[in-house]
Order: sequence, then C-alpha cells, then structure tokens
Amino acid sequence: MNKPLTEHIRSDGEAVSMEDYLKLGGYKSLSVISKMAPVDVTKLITDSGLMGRGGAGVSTGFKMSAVPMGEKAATPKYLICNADEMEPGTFKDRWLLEGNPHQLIEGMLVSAYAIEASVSYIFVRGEYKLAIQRLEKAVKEAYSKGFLGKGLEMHIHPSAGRYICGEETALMNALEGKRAIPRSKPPFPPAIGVWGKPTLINNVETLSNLPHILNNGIEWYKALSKGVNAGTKIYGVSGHVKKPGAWELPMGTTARELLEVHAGGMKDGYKFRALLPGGASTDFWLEDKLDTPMDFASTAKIGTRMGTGTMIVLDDKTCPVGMLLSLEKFFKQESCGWCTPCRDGLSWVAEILASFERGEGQEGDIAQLERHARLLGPGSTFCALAPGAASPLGTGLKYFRDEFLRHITEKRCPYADHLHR
Amino acid sequence: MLTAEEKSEIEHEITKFPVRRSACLEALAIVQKHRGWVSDEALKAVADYVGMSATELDGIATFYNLIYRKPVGKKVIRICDSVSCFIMGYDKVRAKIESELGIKLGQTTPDHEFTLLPTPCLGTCDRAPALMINDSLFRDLNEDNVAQIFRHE
Amino acid sequence: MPTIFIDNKPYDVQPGRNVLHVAVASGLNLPYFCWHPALGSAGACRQCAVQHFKDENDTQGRMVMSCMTPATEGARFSMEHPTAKSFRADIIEWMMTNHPHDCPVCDEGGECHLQDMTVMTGHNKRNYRFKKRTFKNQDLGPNINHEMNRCITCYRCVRYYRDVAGGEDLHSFSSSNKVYFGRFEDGALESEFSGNLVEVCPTGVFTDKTFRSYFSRKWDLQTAPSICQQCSLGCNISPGERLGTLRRIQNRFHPDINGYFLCDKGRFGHQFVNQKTQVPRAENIEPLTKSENLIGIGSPRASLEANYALRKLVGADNFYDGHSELEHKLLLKIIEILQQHPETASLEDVRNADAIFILGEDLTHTAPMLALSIRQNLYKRAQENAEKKGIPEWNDIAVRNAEPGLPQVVYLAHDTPTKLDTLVTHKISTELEEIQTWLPALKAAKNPVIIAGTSLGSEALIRMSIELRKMAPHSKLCYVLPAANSFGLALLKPKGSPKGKTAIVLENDLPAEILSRFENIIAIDFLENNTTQKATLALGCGSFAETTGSMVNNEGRAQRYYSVFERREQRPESWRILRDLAGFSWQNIDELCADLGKDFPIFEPFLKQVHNTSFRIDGQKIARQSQEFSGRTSMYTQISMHEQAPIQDPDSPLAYSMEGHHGDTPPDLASSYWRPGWNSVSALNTFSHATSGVKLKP
Repeated sequence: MNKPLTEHIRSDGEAVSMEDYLKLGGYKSLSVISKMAPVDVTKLITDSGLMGRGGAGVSTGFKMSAVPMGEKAATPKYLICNADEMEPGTFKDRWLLEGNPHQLIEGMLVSAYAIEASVSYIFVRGEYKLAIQRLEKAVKEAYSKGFLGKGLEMHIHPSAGRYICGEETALMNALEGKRAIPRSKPPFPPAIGVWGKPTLINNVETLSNLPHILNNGIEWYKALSKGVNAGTKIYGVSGHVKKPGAWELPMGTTARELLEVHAGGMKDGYKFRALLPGGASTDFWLEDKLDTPMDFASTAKIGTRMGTGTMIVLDDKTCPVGMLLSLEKFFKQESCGWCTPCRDGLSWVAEILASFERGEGQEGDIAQLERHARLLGPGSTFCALAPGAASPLGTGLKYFRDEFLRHITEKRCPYADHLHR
Repeated sequence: MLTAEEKSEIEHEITKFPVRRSACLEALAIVQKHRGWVSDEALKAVADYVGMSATELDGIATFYNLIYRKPVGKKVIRICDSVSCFIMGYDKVRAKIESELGIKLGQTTPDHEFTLLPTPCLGTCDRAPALMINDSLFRDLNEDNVAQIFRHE
Repeated sequence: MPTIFIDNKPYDVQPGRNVLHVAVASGLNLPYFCWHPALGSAGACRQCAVQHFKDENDTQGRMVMSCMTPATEGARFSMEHPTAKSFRADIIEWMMTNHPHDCPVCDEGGECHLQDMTVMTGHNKRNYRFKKRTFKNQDLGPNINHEMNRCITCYRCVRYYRDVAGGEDLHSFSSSNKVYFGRFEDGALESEFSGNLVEVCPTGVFTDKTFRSYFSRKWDLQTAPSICQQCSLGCNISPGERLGTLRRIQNRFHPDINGYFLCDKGRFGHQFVNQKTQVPRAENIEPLTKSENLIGIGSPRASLEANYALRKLVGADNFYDGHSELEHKLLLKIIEILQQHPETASLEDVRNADAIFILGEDLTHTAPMLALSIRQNLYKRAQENAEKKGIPEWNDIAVRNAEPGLPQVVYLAHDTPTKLDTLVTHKISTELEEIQTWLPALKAAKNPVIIAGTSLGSEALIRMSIELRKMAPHSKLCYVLPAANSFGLALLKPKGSPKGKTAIVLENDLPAEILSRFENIIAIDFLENNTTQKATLALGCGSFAETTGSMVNNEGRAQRYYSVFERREQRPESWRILRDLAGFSWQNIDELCADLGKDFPIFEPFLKQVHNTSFRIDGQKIARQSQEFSGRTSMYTQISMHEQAPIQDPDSPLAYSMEGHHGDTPPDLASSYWRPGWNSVSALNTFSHATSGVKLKP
C-alpha cells in the first residue's frame, strides 16, 4: 500500500534527518516546480483534487487560486502552515511534524512558489514542544542548504494557546499579536489576510501532500484513493480499542475497516456504542454508518462530516452524558467570547450537562439542550466553533436520550463507579 | 525591568514580524520562560518594550492560556481533560494526582513545587490519558503509573 | 436609490448602508447591540438577525445578521419570520443569563438600550437555573462608574474607546463567558473622550459618576437644546436639570460639528453651574445715570445678545474687547482673513479632508473634539481605501484589518510634544521656512484643511495660514479661538486697550492690571471671581444653563442655546441686567435681536432662521419635560402647598412643562430623542439628521 506521507517516518521515534530526507528524494519537487509557472502549479494542485485536511475539506487549489497574482498584487504575500492541532481526539499532525518536518517545509516551498509568497510562518501548537524543537532544527537546515532564505523566509510561531487559533482568521489575529478573535468573512484571507496582505493558510497534512503530487503527478495521486476524494488520509482511532493509533490509508477507507482492522476492534470487555468520526466537532455515528467511506464527499452525502478523520470511539462502559460534558466543557472554555450564542449558549449547555453528572438533571433540561443544539448550528454564530459543538450535542441527544433520562431518574451518573467520580 | 538576555531574545523575535508589537506574545513567552510566570511588573516592562500600553498587553495576555498571569510552581502539570483522555480514565488519573500532591486543579503545592492545571487535547489520543510536566509529555497513564512520574520528576 | 423589501414592504436605501441601518433609520423596531452608527458593524451580538430570501418565491430563506448584510437593490428580508424573530428573543435570553436584573438600582434604568431591546424581542421568562457569574468592578476615576456584572459583552466600549478615541487604557480581558472590559489596574480613564462610554454602553456598565451624587431618572430631567461653553467649537449639548440644579450633560447630535460624541470637558465640566459662590442675583436694577468715561468690556464667554446690549449701552466707541490685547490683535487678523475667505471648515469638513495641516495648535487641549475629528478622519481614509478593495464602509473590523497602516494625512507644526503626534506623519517645528515645505502636499490634496489658532499667540502662524491658503485656494481654513463666543464678540467690533473711569465688565475676570485702570467697576457675572470682588457693584446673572442666547463658533456658525432651568428665583440674563441699566425697552430676546440685526446685518441670516419666541408646532410650545415627568404637583411644597404654576419663558418657543409638543422638532430645537420602544440615546438613530445653525460671512 502506498503511504507517501508517512512511509519514511522512522519507527524509533526520531525525525527524518536532512541527510536521509535528501537521500530519499526529498526537495526533488523544487526542481519540478522550477520548470513551471506559479499558476500552473496551482492548477496542478487544483486538478489533483487535494482537499484541505484541517477538517473543512475545501479544495486546496481553489484556495490557492484565490490569492491575487501578478504585479498588481499586494506584497509581501504570506503563507501560513496551520499546525495548531487542538481538535480533541485529533493526533495526526503531531505525527507528521515530529516525524518528517522536512516534508512539510518542502510542501510549504511548493505552495509559496505557487502563490508567490515571500514570508511564511508555521503556527504550531505551543504544547508540541518536540515538534517545535524538530521544526526549528529542520528550518535551520533548510536555510543552510539554501532551500529557504533565497525566495522564502520561514518562521516558527509557537501558539500561546487556545483552540480558536486553529480557525484561520483567528490564527491571523494571534500571529499579529492580538486577541485571537475570528474575523468576518468576506474578506477572505487570500485577498486580505495577516497584516492586511494576501495570506494562504493550510494544514500540516495538506501541505505535506504537495511534494508528492508534484513528483508523481495527479493520476498517481488520484489513484491513491479508494473513495471520492483523492489521495491518502491519515486516520486515527482512540478510545477503548485494542490498537489505538494513526495510519495513512487510502482516502475513502470505511470507518468499519479503521475500527475493526486497523484498530483491532474493541478491547475485551468493551462494546462499541458510537463514534465521532473526526474529532470533537463531528456528529456521533452509530453502527449503521460504519460502512461509510471516510472521505469528504461520501460523508457529506449522508448529511454528516468526516472532520479530521481521527475517530473517537465511545464504548458501553463510558457515560455518554459525561463524554458530552467533556466535549461541551471544552467548547465552552475555548469560545473566544465574541458572539453571544457561543459565549453564553455553550456555558449554559455545559452547566446543564454538569448538573446531569452531579445527579441534578431535570426533565426540562433535555429540551433545553435540544434547543441549544438547534440554535448553535450553522448560520447563527460568528464562526464554526459553536456549530462544531452542536454536532455531537445534537446527535448525542438523539442517540442517548435514555441515558439522560437514567441520570434524572437515578439522580446520579449511572457510570460514576466506573469513572471513580 | 527586562534583563539584557530577555531583551536580546525579544529583539530576535521582533525580526520575524513586520510590526514590532506583533512579537508581544513571544516576548511574554520569553519572560515566562525566564521567570516562570508574568508578573504585573514584567508585563509592564514587556508592554513598554514592544510599544503598547499595559492594558492592551494584558488584554491580549489574559486571552491565552499558556501565559501565566499568576505565580505557578516549579513544575506545571497540565493534564489533558479532553474527550479521549476522559474516555480512557482521566478522572482516575487526576484524582490520583490530586491525592498524591494534596492539591486540586488550578492549585499550587505549598512548597511551590507543583501546579496542577487542566489542558485541552494534547494530540496524543492513541496513548491516552496524557499529561505534560513542563516541556515533557507523559502518556498511557493510569492510577498506578502516574504516581511513579512524580517520584521520578 | 436602491430599494429593498422588508416583510414585503419597499424601503429606499441610502447607497452603501447595511440592512440594519436601513431598518432602524426607517423606524422599524429591529433590535441590535454591537452596531452603532459611529462604530459600524461587528457581527458580534447576533441580535439583529433577519431572514434573507433569494427571491419572491423563496419562503424559507436563510437567517442572516442584518448589520453584516449589504442592502442591495431588490434584496428581500423579513423581521417577522418566526426563525429570526424567535432567535432574537433567544439572544436576549442568553445575554440575560448573567445580567443582574438590577434595573431599579441601576443608573441606566429608564434609558437603557438593553431594557428596550429586551422588551422589543418579547423575551420575558427566565429558564436559566444556574448561578450567575460575577465580576469585580474597577475604580475608573471621578467621571465614570464601572459595574461589570451588567455587561452583555457587546464590545462597543472597547471599539469606541480604543478604535475611535484612540484610548489605550481600556481593553477586553480573558475569553469565553468571562470576557471583562476594564483597565490593567484601577485608575482614572486617560482618554479625554472617556465620557462617551456612558452613551456608547447599551446598559449600565459605564455610567456617569458625576450624575450619581444627585441622580434623577431620565424622564424626570428637564432638558433643552444647548451649546457647549468650554471651547470655541460650539458642540451641541443637552443639559439635564431637576429641582434647580444641573444634573448632567449629554451629547446632542449635530452632523457638522460633534456628531455622536463630546469631550470630557464638555460633558463633565458643568459643576460650576451648581456652585454656591454665585454673585447675588441682580434685582430691582435702576437705570444708570449717564456718566463721562463709561466704557464696557465685552466677553467671549457671554452671549451675542449680552455683548450687543453692552455695546448699545456704552456706545460703539466705548465698547472694548474682553480678550487679551494679543488675542484681540489675532482675532482682528483672523476676521480680516475670513472677510476675504469665508469658507471655513466644520468638524465634518475636517473628518472628510484628504489632508490636514495644523499650525501650532495642540488640539487635544485647545479644541478636543477637533482632535477627535482628526482621528475620525484617519478612519474615514481607511474606509475609503478599504472600499476600493470591496469592503463596505460599515464593515468595521474588516476595514481595520484591511488597512492596518496609518494614512499619511496629518501634518503638524508644533514645538512641543502633543497627544496627536502618533497620528501625524509629518511633524515639524513652527519655523515658517519648514512649513513652506508642506506646499507640494497641500497643492496635491483635493480637499485640504488648514488649522491654526490663537493659542500660541503667534501672528506669524496666522499669517502663514493665509499664505498657504493663497497657494492652495481650494483649501478650507479652520481657526481655533480662545472661547465659545470669541467669534461673535469679534463681529461686534470691540476696541482694544480699554480705558476710562467707569467700566462695566461683562462676564469676565480681567487681570488686575486692567482693573486698576478704573475708578468704578460694575461687574456682571455668575460666579464670584477677582473682578466681582473688586467691583463697586456686582450683579449676578444666570449661567448658560438658565439663560437663552446665541453664540458664534470658530467656523462662524451662529447657534442658539436655550435655558434648561426653571429656577423659582430665576437669575436674569446679562442682557436683561444691561437693559435695565440702560433703560432699554426690550421685553424679550426677539426685540433685542431685531435691533441687533439692524445694527449688524451680518447676523440677519441667522436671525431669520432661528426660531423666534412665537414659533409653535401644532399651536404648541415644545415641552422641555417628558410626558412621564413626575412630581410636578409636589416638587415645590417647601415653597407652597399649592402646585406652582409653570414659569413662563419669554425668550423661546420652549415650555418649562410636560405639556406641549413632543416628538419631531427642527434640529436646533431638539434636546432629547424618543420613540415608542426607544427610551435610550439610541432613539437618535431612528431620526434623520439635518444640520442647524447658520454660517455667517464676516
């Protein structure tokens, strides 16, 4: 099986060194693009069908083509790698950052060439200390080898925290040294971005794909997939499964294959109850959706989202209400506080869920939660944080209603003993 | 007052940005690295140095959870309380740490050795539950092995 | 003019507006918080949700925030659609989860935008059953009270204070539902424009602390249209009075002058009106026996009417300027210049200029609202640049993100640091040769403004201003003058260097050196001062708040201010004292102004336009008191058990009464705004805003 992004990542936990990376054909895509016009690189990436791997699944080439080109375009143009991985249950970018930082740098060089960016930043999760260390080393090496510095500056910006920084417009404010409040769109970052200049922001996994597309062509890239969208995808499974982990697999691998084959099925003594397919801000899936190919188009077709592709498995011994509390407390805490529904609505949701776990849930609370799941959906808030929070809440209420009722009638969390709470 | 070392590190960060004040978060991080946390005096000094008011900088600093505006212990334990760790036994691990250190989330031990803080997902969910002590990551925790870490640290 | 449809009714749209602005200006009850006409849209509160339909056949539509939606030709919206309507009530419910509901003890109660919006959405039942979060408040100094628990987190305060007024000591702190608006530490707010927070905040977080010590509900305040007395700009204000004391001053909108804001001097500097050290009220005045060598010294802080009465009494040859010698000379020069170039710049002109050249004025001190206008100008330039990138001017945050740089518009010649220096891209000394270097930029500008003034006492700089004006005939001049009616006094052609035997000193505290020139001094003033102490006869007149008169601001705009007081022991206008001293027959201001117009035809256009005492709306005088005014039958029982008859006002078409006309009035007679459902200052936004006052041509 072809695993272009991860095949060279070492099993001993060390990063691929510059020396090894070059031996393995690293930075070869730079000679490919040197023979191409920037707009042709963008076109190639558009034609490859690469969709952004940050969770939203927007065509990468489409985003790139929105960057103004030519002499009239404002300069400098900025390229930002969004390495602020903080979606609960998501652990794919860490693997790429720690395992093969040069691949990312090469991908950024390709992207920067295509949009004629002269300055780039890697906006990396502040807690990813090892990744930061390895990125710093790799960037230094890339400078000394002359890959960086001639046309492109590259800086590493460790985030000062907050999930909202992963939202690309909030990220720009964070990078500018401001409060990380999302910006209204339009204008979109490719037109008016950081410091008022054209800015392209891409996820780590997205950018890591670029060298391979350039080296091997779009037919090869499309053939990697067995789903609707092209390429491979880094999937992961966490929870009480036999072999939790992350794997690079053909795009469109089914959830069932991930769960049963790659993760080895449920751990002994645990039964599958549901899963979140791609991080905290996706809908719960029950058994009936397990055969869905995990790609953007197939999940959209059944009215749901793949998100980051890293699944969180809920078993029969874990309290679904407690899990929702963990999720919603996270979203509440990470709300930037800009818009009312998110700021005050999520607090309310978290308060109610906490009261259930204390055994103080009331009959009317379920309706109140349902109302919030509806009201916090797309269209009512400033950014996608609250709609993300509404996804597991809405589906959780639908699938685990009996569990909520049990909390009310038993006046306690029925799973409290298991969790030692 | 900022030390010469702090100033030179901040200056280096400033070169990465087109606007001096954009380096304010890096500057705070540098001060925190040297002093453990950002006191009011330190915040004023940084504000002065990057060219903004203390109010403005504090408004920015208090937005972010990795800037400590209150004193913390020598070792800051950041325990992940997000969903995968929750499923895998965060509560038990946290309870064990709390009893071991005699502090609750958000508190510092009387000897200023440890501060216990919650953190969102650390991105190592396949090896949950996880926590960080200062810059080091610890994973695959359970009630039994978590106590070991402290004796070790 | 584009047309949009709201609930199937067509509305004309001023091009470039968003849907919320159109709805509110059309008198529709669409609630909102974070939008403000001077702040633009932020999209934060989500209160102004409406349903947006693709076309006539679309019945489902999609919910949008009206403040973030451009009003484009033919677009269709609904306020009544159940989705948007119930969502608006939901927003209030969320905001109310932490609001203390302390309206009875809150200073904002009765003029609270949050109260109005809550009623407007129909939300009335609390479902939230958990504890409210609470905050500690800060001491923000003597003027502004802080009560953070009332905050609904609309971000208007910081968007005003930081983005509009350039203040650096107020910010948002923390995140999530713990966002806090305050300072790094306790302490007085540093901005000269902090008082506007009181009006910008839609609820009771920032309230007027000076008002607290003798508080009254809005509906119990008597108000009248007035003009600020604190500098020469003539900002429009609305003072509020009750039981014989001036309680507070609020902004009164004027599109060409102050707009939505006031400086702190204008808003809070009114305590003198209630001072105990008032000169005893002048009563039973006998006419003066004509004496030799009687002269009059006028005053730049007295009304046009008072100065004219004095001039008439002493004769043109004996009427002297109350400015200093130097100021007198500079004013003569300025009037001479303006006779040739009467096109002066208003604050709105300053806000719209594409280049501003300041010669030796530290505007933050000499004319604060002019300094704010320069900040507003820079933002307007940013809006223009952003508009070229497709960002509508109301999309505030986007404009600021798109235009992070400082537009290079402001040129300042000054020899000491000023607070505007950070906005100035070209600061030079006041050396004339240096100022010459501005010429290319001045000539290149399309609508430049040249600002100069009297504060440095430099005639050379004033001459320089006219030199620049000659080189760039398309530029407008703006002079900062010493006091509120300096221009008006100068137009009455007073002489310099007062001398004589007996002097009538009108509302002025003169230096000892000048006072020593006279054997007898008759002083007319409101508060005791050195001059009234030295005077042979001191006659107490009323302050601006209890008299009616006219003033001419720095641009030559004549405006009238109206008495807001109904003191039971009314203190007379200075002109009435002078009338009695002279034995003139004027019974009211109209009769005086008839003579003024005859003697000084320059005032005719103003006197024709100003509403004289016989003006009525629907046969009624305009009520100074609200329809809800309380206590009328009992508020003066210390005088008599019987209800007191309202005091008659001979000088204006306004009544000291709750009876009379309420509602739409000509802009110069409007002192407070109200519409059903709109009890706060936001009611202003439901009115259209014509200019007022008359620009005189010297």
